[in-house]
Amino acid sequence: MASFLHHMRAMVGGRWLGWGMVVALGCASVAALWLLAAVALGRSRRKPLVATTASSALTVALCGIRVELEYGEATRLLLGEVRAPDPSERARLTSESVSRLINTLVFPPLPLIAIALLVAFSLLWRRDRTWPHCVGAVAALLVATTAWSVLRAQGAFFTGFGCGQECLYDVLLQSRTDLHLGKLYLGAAAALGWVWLLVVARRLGDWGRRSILVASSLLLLTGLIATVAARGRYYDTWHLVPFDASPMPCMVRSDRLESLPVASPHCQGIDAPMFEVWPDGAFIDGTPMATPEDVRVKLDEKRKLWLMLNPGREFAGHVVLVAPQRASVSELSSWVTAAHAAGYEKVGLYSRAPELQLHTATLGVIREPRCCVAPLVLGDTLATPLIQR
Amino acid sequence: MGASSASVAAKSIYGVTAAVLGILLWCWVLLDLVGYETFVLSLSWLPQGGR
Repeated sequence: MASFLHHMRAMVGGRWLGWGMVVALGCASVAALWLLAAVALGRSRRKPLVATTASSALTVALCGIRVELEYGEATRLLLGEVRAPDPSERARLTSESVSRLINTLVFPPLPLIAIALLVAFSLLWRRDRTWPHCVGAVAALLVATTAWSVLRAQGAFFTGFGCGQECLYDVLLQSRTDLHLGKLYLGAAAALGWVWLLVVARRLGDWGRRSILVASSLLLLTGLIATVAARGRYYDTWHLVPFDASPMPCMVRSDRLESLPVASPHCQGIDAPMFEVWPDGAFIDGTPMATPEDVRVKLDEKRKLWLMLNPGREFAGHVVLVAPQRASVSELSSWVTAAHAAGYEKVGLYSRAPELQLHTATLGVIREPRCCVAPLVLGDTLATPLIQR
Repeated sequence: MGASSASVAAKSIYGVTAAVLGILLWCWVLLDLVGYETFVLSLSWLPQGGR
């Protein structure tokens, strides 16, 4: 019960559309109980059937709108198109959006499966097999199969709750596979329904009516249009962002990216402390460093901390210098010497690597800046102007 | 008479097929739209974002 309420609260997310979904789902559940009572008591099922179908369709429509809105919001947040005060705030907003998204997809299918099965049952149980009843029953069974497929695919996210990036990759692949399997199950169910309808239709003999043909053709035509319209999303679903899309993220302010030196083709990323030297001052982890001596002390602290956390391991002595391309060797030499004095023998130069370009069907080309570390030999730096003005 | 009966049968088969295929396509589209979630979540592997 607590889990049920938790998912419902996460689905609502404190937004009016979420409450609208809860109300629609409540109406569908009440209508389904009304239908169940009508079937059990042998009363007319027409009104409860219409009420159940209409409220269920409304629930699905509201879920669709919510999911579309959350797709848009999560995408803008993940692509950095939303101006959030700081990265942690953006991460919080993203996780809230993803939570609303997943719970919207996992919560409503639970009652919808039961409701769709009840509708199919009430359409066929002790009733004349007229064509609207038969088509309605096949449609309800396909809806139940669809809801079950969605639920199954979303279940993967809950089994992997709280796992890291590599685990998320497995979860995404599992969810996608489950949805693909769901499409196969749906195809098989539709084929069976088609054969059954053909057999029933021979007896009914009224499938050739003009109104039925127009309605069926419209359903097929709109289905084809929707399939074509969703092709872009289908393509992207099967071309996820590679797990190691950007192994060399740029860790500097975006307005300073352009001023970094351009990397050679063999440039690679390394895990090492960074210190920045810009015309407006030197920084380590965003903290201003007034003099080279401050840099030496700070880097020395980092080296000692590393040795404390990694007992028995050899200190690599890597440090990364972040400086604009226009900086001269004379401007940098005192800072580099300070790093050397703190025990960091291998100084690398932070550089811009060719940007990553991801071609998507729905978001166009995603461009991601990449940075890496080029070797910078201390002795040479002092003697020769490696960084050209 | 026979030709008319065959025409009605052909229309019946078309009506059944179009209805079932139409419903099936809509259900598939729903699953495609749900599957797009995996792509949106995979965007989280981009470290900074920006197009």
